[in-house]
Amino acid sequence: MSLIKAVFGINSLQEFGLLEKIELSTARAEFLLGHRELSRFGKWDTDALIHAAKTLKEKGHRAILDWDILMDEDVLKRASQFIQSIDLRVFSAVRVQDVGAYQFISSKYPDLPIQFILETGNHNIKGIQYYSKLKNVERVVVSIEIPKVQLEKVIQESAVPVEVLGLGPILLLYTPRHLLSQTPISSIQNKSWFEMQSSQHEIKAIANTEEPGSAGHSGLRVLENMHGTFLIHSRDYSLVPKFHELQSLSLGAFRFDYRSGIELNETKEFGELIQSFAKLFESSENSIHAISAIEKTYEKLNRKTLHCFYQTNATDVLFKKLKNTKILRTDYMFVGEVLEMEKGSHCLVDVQVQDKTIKIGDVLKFITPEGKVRIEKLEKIKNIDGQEIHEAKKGELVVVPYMKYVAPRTMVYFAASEEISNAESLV
Amino acid sequence: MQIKSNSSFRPEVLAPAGNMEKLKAAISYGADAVYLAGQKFGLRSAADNFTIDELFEASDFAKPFGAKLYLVLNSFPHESDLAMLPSFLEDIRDVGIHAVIASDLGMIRTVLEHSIIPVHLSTQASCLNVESGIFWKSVGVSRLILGREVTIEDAGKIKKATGLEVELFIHGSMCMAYSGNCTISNFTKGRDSNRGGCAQSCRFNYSLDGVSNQYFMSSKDLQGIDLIPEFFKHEIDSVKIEGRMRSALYAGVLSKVYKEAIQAYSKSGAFTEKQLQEWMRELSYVPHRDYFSGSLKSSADQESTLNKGKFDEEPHFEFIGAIKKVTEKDVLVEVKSGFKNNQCIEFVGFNDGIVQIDLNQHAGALRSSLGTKELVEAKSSSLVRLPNFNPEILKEGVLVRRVV
Repeated sequence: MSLIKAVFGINSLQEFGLLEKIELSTARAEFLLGHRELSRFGKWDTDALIHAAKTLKEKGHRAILDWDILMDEDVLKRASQFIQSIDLRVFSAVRVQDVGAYQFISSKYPDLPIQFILETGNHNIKGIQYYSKLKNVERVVVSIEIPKVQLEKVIQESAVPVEVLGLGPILLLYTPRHLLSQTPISSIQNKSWFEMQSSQHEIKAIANTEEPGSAGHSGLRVLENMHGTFLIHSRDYSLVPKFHELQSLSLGAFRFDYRSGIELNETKEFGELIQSFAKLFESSENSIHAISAIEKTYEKLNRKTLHCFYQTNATDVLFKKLKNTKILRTDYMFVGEVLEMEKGSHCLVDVQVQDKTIKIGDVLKFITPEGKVRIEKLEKIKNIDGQEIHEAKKGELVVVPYMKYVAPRTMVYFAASEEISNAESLV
Repeated sequence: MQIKSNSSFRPEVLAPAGNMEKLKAAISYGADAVYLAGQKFGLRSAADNFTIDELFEASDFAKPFGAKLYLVLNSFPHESDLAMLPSFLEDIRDVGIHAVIASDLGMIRTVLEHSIIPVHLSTQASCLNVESGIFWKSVGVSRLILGREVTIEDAGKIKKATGLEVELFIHGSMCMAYSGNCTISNFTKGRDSNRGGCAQSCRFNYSLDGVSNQYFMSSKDLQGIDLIPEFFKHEIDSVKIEGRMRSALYAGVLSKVYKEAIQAYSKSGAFTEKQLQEWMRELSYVPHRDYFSGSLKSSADQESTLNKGKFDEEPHFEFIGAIKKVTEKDVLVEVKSGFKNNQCIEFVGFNDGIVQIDLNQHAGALRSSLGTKELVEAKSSSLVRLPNFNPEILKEGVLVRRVV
């Protein structure tokens, strides 16, 4: 069982300083440093960034340049010019999300390791494995939506170590548009485009809604900066209680990242959290105490955490109910659809059966939108002009006698032999 | 407007086909290609979508028109979803699909390994720059459907640098987030927005720090008809209309308008101000939010969000039905939304030509499906007969609408 690396996203050397009392093995610690121009939530300016990277390197730690923004052509050009103006040798690796950033680094800096952020989508082994085998990739950072059973397989099949978020805010939406600047929140209206592009630009707000069916959309944290607008969950994500389980799965790295934590970073509790997180990587006893300490700090903050998809991800179940499956066509034995019903008079069927006809004597199954089923033998059919006919083919409209419960959008099928043998109208 | 075109290049008009009726409308009204989904793997799980038999039928319908079919596989599949893909690809092998649209790398690699169908990279992959295009070319895609944050000019640069075809959205609803970068539904409602379960949380009415009535995440709708000369100039291969969930009238009218505009520009290197005004009038009458040009000219920002309500309140056309059958004497209309025998309706011809009828002036014109009764009202989910007012224009599939 290999040792998990501890990854910390930090925005100042003071934050690193909070860890100096912890006996954090240099072989296990990495620090994500995000320059304001390259990182969604990074706040480093160039001089401080290089100084921090050198300091960390001198202390034996790995400094990772965090380049996690998505970029149109102009922004990528600016970013890549900036990258080429700094000495990347102080960094142990570069972390990217935009595949264009990967392409740029791997072609211009063939010896520089890359950590690939795959947190958006990428929920299957085939895709993750492909990224893990790309040139220079030393680690993949996977989505928190991957459940444990799947994560274990990902770790086994990935060509490189796998990282997940261990503790930190959950990003729900990322847009390049500056959304808060366009709202009437006091003084921030009508900022110029140039002001919004400034690395000092930052606006925060809390969003709530009372729309019907909008439970779960309260207390959402909104952060706007030069890179756009971010929507963050009201609860934080924590896999801390699962640390030892993840260790046994041979997880490669476990991350602490509060850089988007809107109101947390300046508090005493932030120090408690980062120190406790670091202690997870110490002895078993310290690690167990650390888990408990983190829970206590959250209680003090009166905040909650979640790890919603870690046990299971059933997010495809609820939306299957969006559609009425009773009117969902299946091909097997399909005849057509009822377009019109006149009570006491008739039903009009749009015949869509491929390669066959329907004819007198056929037994048909009608499935109504409410799920009621009628099995009926065709005794009489007419065409749309009222003439009796013996059979009808695809594209024709046929008139059959009115049947109770059969309404427009009723699906019509040939009845199967066991349905015929059981037939009386199953209503 | 007289703007000269210097090339014989013509972008294809790519329209949405949420079901067979919408597909037939889009192609009949001029779409060069349609995108459609099977009952699995797409992002519009509430759309009707196509069974395998329907895909074959769609292909048979499209062939005489020379229209192409692009099959959407743009969800972000989990392991169990991906396992079903090879057998699905086998089922559709003989349909005649011209390309699949996919965003997930696992999905793309599976398609490339199990079929010879070309892959178009979905906008969900957020390909925004030349370097990304180079990466995706190395993966094996043949067209890039670029993110909606890309300008027409940059799309042209990406095309030149990569040698791949490029496609841009030109009309329709816009996501607020970078495509594929929104999981609001996942965490708030337990519905995976990237597997078809988006709950449209961005359209809610929010309060921000106590200030209410903020539709701050609700984007305006994209509309780029006046930028068609730019699409020609930068040789964008395909202009895409969003809206598989929208009506057949939407699919038909938008296909017609954009095709007419592109044909006019292609033929004469220009279109007149009068033509442009007429097309914009048609577009303004299809139900929509406020329009803007997205990021087609420059990055969308100020004035890009709705901020004041859901849909516009301008009068628009209501889709009331489609002609199901035609004889010399009459037409049979499948009614989608009711109308009365004293109202004005319009039959929208496939080519030029709209037949406007004031039913008030045609006593007894509205009859039941079997022709046996005069009607005062045509009810939705029924069929009605009307005289064949203009055999040149009124054909099977022609859409019928009413001004609201």
